[in-house]
Amino acid sequence: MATPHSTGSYGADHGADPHGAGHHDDGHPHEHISPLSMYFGVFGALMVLTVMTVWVSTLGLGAVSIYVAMFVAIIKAYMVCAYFMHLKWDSPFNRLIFISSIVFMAIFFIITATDIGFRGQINPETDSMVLRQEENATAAEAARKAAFEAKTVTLARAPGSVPTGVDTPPVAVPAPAAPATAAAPATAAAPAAPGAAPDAPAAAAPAPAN
Amino acid sequence: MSSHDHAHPEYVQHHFHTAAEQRAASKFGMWAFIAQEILFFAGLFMAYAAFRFFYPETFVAAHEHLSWKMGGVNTIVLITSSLTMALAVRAAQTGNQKQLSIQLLLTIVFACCFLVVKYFEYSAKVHHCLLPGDYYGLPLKDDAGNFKLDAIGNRIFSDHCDIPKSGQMDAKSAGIFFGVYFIMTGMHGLHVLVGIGLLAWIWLRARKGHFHPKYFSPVEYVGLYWHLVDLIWIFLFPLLYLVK
Repeated sequence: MATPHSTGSYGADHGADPHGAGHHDDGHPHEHISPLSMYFGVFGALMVLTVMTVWVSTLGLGAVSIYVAMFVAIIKAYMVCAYFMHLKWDSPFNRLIFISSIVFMAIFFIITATDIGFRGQINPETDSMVLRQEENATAAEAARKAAFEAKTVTLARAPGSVPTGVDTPPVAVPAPAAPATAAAPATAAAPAAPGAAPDAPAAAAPAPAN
Repeated sequence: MSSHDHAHPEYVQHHFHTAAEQRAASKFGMWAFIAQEILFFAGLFMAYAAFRFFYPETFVAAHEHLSWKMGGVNTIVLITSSLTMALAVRAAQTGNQKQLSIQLLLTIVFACCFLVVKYFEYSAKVHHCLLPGDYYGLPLKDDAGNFKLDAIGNRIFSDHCDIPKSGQMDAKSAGIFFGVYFIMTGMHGLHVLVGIGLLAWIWLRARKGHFHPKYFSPVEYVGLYWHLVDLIWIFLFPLLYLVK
């Protein structure tokens, strides 16, 4: 080594501690030197928290799991920043810079999450965004269809022992099979438009709703 | 300016009045850099959050393909390297040259261990064709360059890819997950690589006796950078490897 040092042990370090030489203002920075016990203590705590993070993930907490994991990670991050990075003893101005980066990160997260959260969903078939309004329209459409199907099935069962309404896909019930014998009750349910709009369920929907 | 020879030792640049002034200015610069790094990674974390929001089932299914054991070992390796880095800074503060050199070397060794584990992780992903984007499963294409699809419209993966058949993962969203995984861990790994270079530079300077209790800023700032690398991994590990 470049500079010989009589002992390799840390115990001898304190003799070289600039603080031990007294505080005289010579334009030199006076640094906080933490005891070794602090470093090993923080290291131990970080290890325990790491094991804890892994253990918590095996508990099957479901949706809560990510919040627990992030909470533990934030505690670990605080310990690294405050003690290993010495931010606890750094100038308030440097602390301010660090905290401001966290604040701006939070602003970035909140605004982006608000955008994404209220934008809608991804339609896996077209792989494009489904906007909220379209989503609501689709939901209303689905509800209308469901009501229509329920009614059709009920009516199909009602007149007699014909189970066809249950077996066939409900959307197909009112449609082109009309002349066939099995679908007779469905046709009866829509007297206003017998056999109308065979391939447009949306158009057929209002008829039985009357 | 003072004629006092104390005022301008060789390690104080001529445009600073005192060592304390130089140190305050350089430390401020280092923290500004760290703030920038945090904001840079914030973009990647936000991308993770957005894609997780869009494809929650894929993220849960895909993280099963990451080895939490390797991730856990790397977490322990990085935290230990953070400890040795902090001890190196302390050795510089107290003027213990021998410990400074030893702790810096240990930090470099741990950093290399991290990359070795990362290498095994990445090669396992490549072996299983768990690749980002359209490369996920190395899907077959027809002459026109479109994906060949099976009867129910799924991409047909290359024969030599043994993609684990766990449900809920279509090729498209799985490709997005592994894109996020490779970019996030890749950017972090790049920082580790740069860190090794910086640590080696600091170690060489330390061997030449450049650092002592009145001047150890480079050691400390490389230390700050190294702790930042650890800090980012603290969040990456649970998000990518553990969260169910």
